[in-house]
Amino acid sequence: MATVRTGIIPTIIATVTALALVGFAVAGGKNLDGSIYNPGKLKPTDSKVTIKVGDKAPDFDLKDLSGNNVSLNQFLGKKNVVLSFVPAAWTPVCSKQWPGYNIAKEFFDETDTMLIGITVDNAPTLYAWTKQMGDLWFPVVSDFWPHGAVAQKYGILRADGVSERALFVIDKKGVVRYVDVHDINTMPKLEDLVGAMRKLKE
Amino acid sequence: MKRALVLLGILTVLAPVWQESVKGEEQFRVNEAKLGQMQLPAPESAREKKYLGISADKQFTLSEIKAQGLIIEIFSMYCPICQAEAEKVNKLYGLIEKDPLLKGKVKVLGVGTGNTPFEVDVFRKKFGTQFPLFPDEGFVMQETSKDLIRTPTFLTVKIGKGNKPVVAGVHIGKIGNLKDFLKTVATSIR
Repeated sequence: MATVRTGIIPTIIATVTALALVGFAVAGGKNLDGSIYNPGKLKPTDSKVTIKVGDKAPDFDLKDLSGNNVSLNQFLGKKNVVLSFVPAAWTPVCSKQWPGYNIAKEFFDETDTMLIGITVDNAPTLYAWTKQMGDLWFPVVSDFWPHGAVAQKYGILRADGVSERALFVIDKKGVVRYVDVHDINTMPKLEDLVGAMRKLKE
Repeated sequence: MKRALVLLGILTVLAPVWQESVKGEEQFRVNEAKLGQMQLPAPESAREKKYLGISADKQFTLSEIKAQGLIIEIFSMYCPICQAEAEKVNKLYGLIEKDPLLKGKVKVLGVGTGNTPFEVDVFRKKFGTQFPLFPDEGFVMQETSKDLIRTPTFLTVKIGKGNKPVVAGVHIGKIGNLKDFLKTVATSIR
């Protein structure tokens, strides 16, 4: 019978790793904040947005977490669209932004607007992350591969490969009506987004 | 056998360190003096003013609330656990209001950390919250502790001599069994 011989150093590393994982599991079991990776305070923005109000919004075609294709053009003439880019799964502000929108559906309905959540994470990560947010009423799409291609089209891909925390409000003609490339460290105020959506009705 | 003993030794040495680090992540130590001075915006609703026993029109401090004890839920409109627990917290308020030994003596309020008045209003309407909820856009609650706020956090506060708040209990995360939670609160306030 073959045996795998390991030295004392790998044993220590394995033990410490196991303890760390158990620690996360215990903390996470009691409070999901325990599963959140804190990257610390980051440079507020780190890209040059190329899309401005009045521009035609670049189309995209990405898969949602059920494997369905979601494109911007499918909503042309039917729905206004809010694109909510968040930088990364399992990070502090991002993990609460969409749960907030999840209880604010009435404002999207009132303004005939569809919300699309988008990050550069891959689908399995997004699946596990959004599962703990409850049942989201809006699609979440992965801009993982080619990595951050849609974020790049909108000019909001940061140097480290994540996107900015950004909101684009796009009307039924596909024209950008509101842009908020937000400080990555802070939550955009809900009323600012709602105000921008309500302006679409004017 | 030797390897197993080494492993056991490492576990023995590191276990207290690990326990401390987990405990460290989960604690919220409050500066009671700062808590007592913390300014909250006065509620517009006459019903909520009457409930809290305050007359201020602009801002008030916790020390002004007429009660023997407070349950303060630190929440956020954006927090999925706070949303999931909202119905249970509403029930907690209901149980207190129905209990002749607690009604009028223990008051419940929520502080929406980082939330604007608009955001708190969305939460209130969504979950039909009957007890007062206050916005804390400037993260004033965070200034009462060096530990990072995790939402939801429930503070049980006893109103001591000179109306000074004394933190009698801190609970982070889901409430768990409601009756057990209320029993713990009632005991710690007495």
